[in-house]
Formats: sequence, C-alpha cells, structure tokens
Amino acid sequence: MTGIPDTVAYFNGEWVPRSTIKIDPLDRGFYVADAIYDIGRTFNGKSFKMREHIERLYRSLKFVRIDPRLSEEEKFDISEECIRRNEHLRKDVGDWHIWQAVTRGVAGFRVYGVPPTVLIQCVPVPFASYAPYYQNGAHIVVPRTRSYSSQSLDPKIKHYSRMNFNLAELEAHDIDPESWPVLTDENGNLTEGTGYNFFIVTDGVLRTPGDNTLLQGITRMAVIELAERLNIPFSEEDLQPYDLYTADEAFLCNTPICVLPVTKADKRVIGDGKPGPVTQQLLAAWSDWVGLDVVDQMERYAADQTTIMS
Amino acid sequence: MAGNIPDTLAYFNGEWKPRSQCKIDLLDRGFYVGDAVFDIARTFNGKSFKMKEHVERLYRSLKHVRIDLDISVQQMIDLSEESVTRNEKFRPQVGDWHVWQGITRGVGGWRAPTSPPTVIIQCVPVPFRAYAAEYKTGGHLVVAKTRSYSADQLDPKVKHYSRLNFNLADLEAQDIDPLGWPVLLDQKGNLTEGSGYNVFIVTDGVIRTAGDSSLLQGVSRGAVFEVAEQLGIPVSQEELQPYDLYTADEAFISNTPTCILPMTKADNRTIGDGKPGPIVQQLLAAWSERVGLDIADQAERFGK
Repeated sequence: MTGIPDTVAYFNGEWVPRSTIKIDPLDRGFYVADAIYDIGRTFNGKSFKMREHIERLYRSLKFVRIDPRLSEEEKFDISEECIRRNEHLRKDVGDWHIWQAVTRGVAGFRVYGVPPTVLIQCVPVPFASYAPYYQNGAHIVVPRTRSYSSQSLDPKIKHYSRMNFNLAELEAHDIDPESWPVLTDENGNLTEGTGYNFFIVTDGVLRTPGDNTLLQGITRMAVIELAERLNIPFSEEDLQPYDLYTADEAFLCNTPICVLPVTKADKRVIGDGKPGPVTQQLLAAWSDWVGLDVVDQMERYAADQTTIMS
Repeated sequence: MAGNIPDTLAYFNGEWKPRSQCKIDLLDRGFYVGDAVFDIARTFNGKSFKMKEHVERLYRSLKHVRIDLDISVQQMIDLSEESVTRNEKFRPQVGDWHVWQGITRGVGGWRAPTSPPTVIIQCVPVPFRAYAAEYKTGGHLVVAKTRSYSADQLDPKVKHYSRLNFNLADLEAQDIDPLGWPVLLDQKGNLTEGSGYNVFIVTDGVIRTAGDSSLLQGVSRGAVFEVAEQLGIPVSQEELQPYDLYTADEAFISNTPTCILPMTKADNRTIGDGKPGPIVQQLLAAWSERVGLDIADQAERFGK
C-alpha cells in the first residue's frame, strides 16, 4: 500500500481518512458480494462524465434493489466534493479514480432492508498498470471462462460478484502474463473484458458487440460519440473470435485507459502489429477533448508508481 | 447479524483477536471483486460436525480458483477446532456455532500483485431465528427468475463470495412469498439449488435431488444420503423440473445450520397434505439422534 496518499473519503455519512475505513466481515458486500460500484476519473483534476457514472450507478442500484439513501444529486455533489477535498494530494499522482461503492449493509444471510454501506473514495489512476501497452499494443486472450448470461446476472450491472472475471484473468495470464482477457457468451460471441469493452476495425468500420451481454461502458459510449464526430462508420453486432483475429485494428477502452491499442489476439498479429490509424485518431481526439495527452500522462506518472494499488 | 452477537475470538491472518477487530481492507480483492472462497461448518452441543468434509471442500474451492494457502488442510482443521474451543465460554448464550472460514486472494489492485491471502476463521452464532418456526409449519419454496451460473461461467461447485445472483433470487422469492426460499434453475430450466442450500423432493417413497453438475456439493446433502441409506430409503440423483417439485409428496432443503428443513409449499402450490411429511420427519429424527440433540427443539429454544 506504499505510495498511496491517504485521501479523505466519504464513508457512511462522514469524511474520514481512507486508511481508517475498513469493512466488517459480516458486511453483505463482502461475504456475498452484495454490492454495486462505479468508477469515474479526473483529467487534470476535473471530473469526466461524472453524471453518466452516477446515473449508471443508480441503474445498478435499482436493478439489485439497494436503496443508497442519497439522491443522485447528493451523490454527484459528494463525489465532486471528494475531488476538491483531495486536490492538494493530486500533483503526486496525476489524476484520480473516483470510486463509488454501495453495499447492502451489515446483515445475515437472507436478511435485507438494513442501512447500506456507502463509500466514495479518490484513489490514484493506476497508470503503471497500463502505460507499458500504449506504444506496442496489448494482447487480447479469449479465456475459457464465459461471461454471466443476463438470466444469471446481467452484465449491465456493475457489481462486485466478479469471480468469473478473476478466473478469466488467470486463464489469460497462463497463455501470456501480459495479456488482457475478453470473454465470450454462452453462444461463443465476444462480450467484454474484465472491466473494459473492446472494439475492432474492419475495412474502416468500427465494430463492437451490442450491450445485451456487457457493461454499458461510459468510455464505450464516449468512443462511439468520438467516432461520430470523426465520421468513422460504426456498427454494433455479434462478433466472434474470428472477427477479432482477422481485424485490421483493435483496441480496449475503459475509464482509466480511455483507448488502449491492441496488436495481438490469441497470439495472432492484428493488422501490421502496430497501433492502427483509426485507434491513433481516436486517442488523439480523446486527448484533445480532455485537454491533456492521455498517453504522455500515463507514461510520466507510471514511472513514479512503483507499487500500484488502486 | 448485528446486535447481541458475542465478540468471539477469531483467527485473522495468523493472529487470534476479538472478531470486532477483524476488518477487511477496501482494496482486499475478496471485497471489491468477490475474489474469495469460504466454507461454514457448525457445532452440535459445541462439538464440530463433519469439519473435515467442510475443510476438504474449502480446499477444493481454493484449488479451483487458484488461491494458494501456506496452511495445510490439517492445520485448517486444527485452527477451526481451536476456534470452537476458545469460544466455548460464550456458547451457552447462543446454543451452537457456525465455524466460518473465509479466504480471499489478498489485498491488491488490478493487474498488480497482491498481499498474501486474507484468512479469517470465525465463530458466529447459528442463526436459529431465521428458520426455527418452519420445522413445524414447513417453509415455502419459490422458483426464482434469476438463474444459477453455468459451470462454464462460474462452477457452482466452488463455494465463493460472488453471489449477487443468489441475493437477487432471495429478493424475488420474498416478493412472491415473504417466507419464500428461492430455488434457482439452470439455463435449461432444471432445478439446481437454493441460495445456500440443496433441495430434495420425495415421490412415491424415493428421495430425489438434482445431480451435482449444477450445484454446490453440500456437506449436509451428503449427510442426507448417509442418513437415507441408514434408514433404507432409496435416493435418486436426476434432472428435475418445477413440475416434479409441485407434484411431489414431500419436499425439504438441507444445509449446515438447518440440517433438514421441511418445505410445505412451492410457488403457492401445497406440497403433499401441506404438512412436513413422514420421510422428512424420519430423516430429521435420525439426524437428531446422530448429533445427540433435538435439532428442531434447539432451533426453537434459541430462535426466540
């Protein structure tokens, strides 16, 4: 845990140092992963699409029927306050993840209706985990473990019950310790990674699966928004590993990485093995949008983050 | 589970300390990505029951999810028994213990190394109150809309903390019947298990239950098979659909705290004559004899 500034966090109605916040082993968020979360980030200390993150958090809460006992507006204000309160610590870390978590609270098996556990914390964007992949591209591995189907646990919910994702990571890392898993659904269609969406580019068309088997990524929507602005044709469709292997380009996207080039998939070279032009164009447009060079920031701060915990 | 829980002594990452001082870090993967497995045994009159089977299952779960512990199976059994011994003084007020082992992958970030696993062994009271009344009246089963994970998503034989689908199933069942105990279906519509218990029916004198390809290998489920064999009652493991449940002569669930709990309704249909059936009663009596206390009576006394 070295190197993480002890930010002040909101915990069950109070502002306290993050280091003093602990979870009761009898919190349902721990022992039955009865919890929802969302993570936004800042660019130069300014929040990005906070509204969208909070709205998605409340969609998740609605689905799992946890009442956070705070309105969306209150949640929004507290999240922005969390950023302001920690601004003096930001220069050491670059930018923040704003991490919202709500659990059903401390209660027994099959017991509901207790006060929820509510946490809003700033933690550093873990640049060091991602920086090494921008120049040469990441490697996608399709693991054996599948996504939950929507009838078991809808992947649109952003929840803590992610053991299948953990197993998918281990499987992918057996094949390549540097790889990034992208899972399939029960029909063999590609869905999403363990916390990120993916896109491919084929004949100039940006392609990604529809959102019936994956998280409605805020960054995914931002990519679609950028593509429209840049007049890049876009298509949502069922995709199989074949489409990924034979694509001209591929990339991953999520809150910390924005757009991360992919140059290999299951040991096959994508395109010419270098980050492709459409990917680069999107990344440049993104940097323009948020007012900082995303890759440059990543690389600068990564060097300082010897131990990353986020 | 708040309120009058005695502050038992728990084993937490190599140390014995009051349970109230054992807290989980926000960046423990067991918390923020459900990266944890667990098991729960119980005591009868302060004596552990099938502890070895529970610990062996815990280690099967650990093997599947690839969490390495530097604690052997035998050490885990010994620590669990020590936890029972150390808390014996608190037991008269609560009746008996759940002996709960929780193991997480440790504290660490995404795509970053983690600390050694977080290990907790705690005694908490068996929650008798949650089901005590149902030994006489029978509980109610509800087939939930939410389905079990399939083995290629997350094998239900692993006893893990990533149980949000079970929580949703609980809520759905309680919408339909406040006394509802959910039973989940697999992707094909076959009955699997409840949100922490196995499900049995009795048809024409045969105890029937789903095979273990879509459910947890319940230690109590195994004990039901043993008791049935002892009593000469035939058992069949087979695919079952809600139809079989609705039209059964008897139904019950099994898990560690309840042992066997009769079920007298399923999706608002009466099972048999609406009372706990003779085979269920027979099994429960044999189990009580085996552990040396009257299970339903204890639940009623301490459930008050």
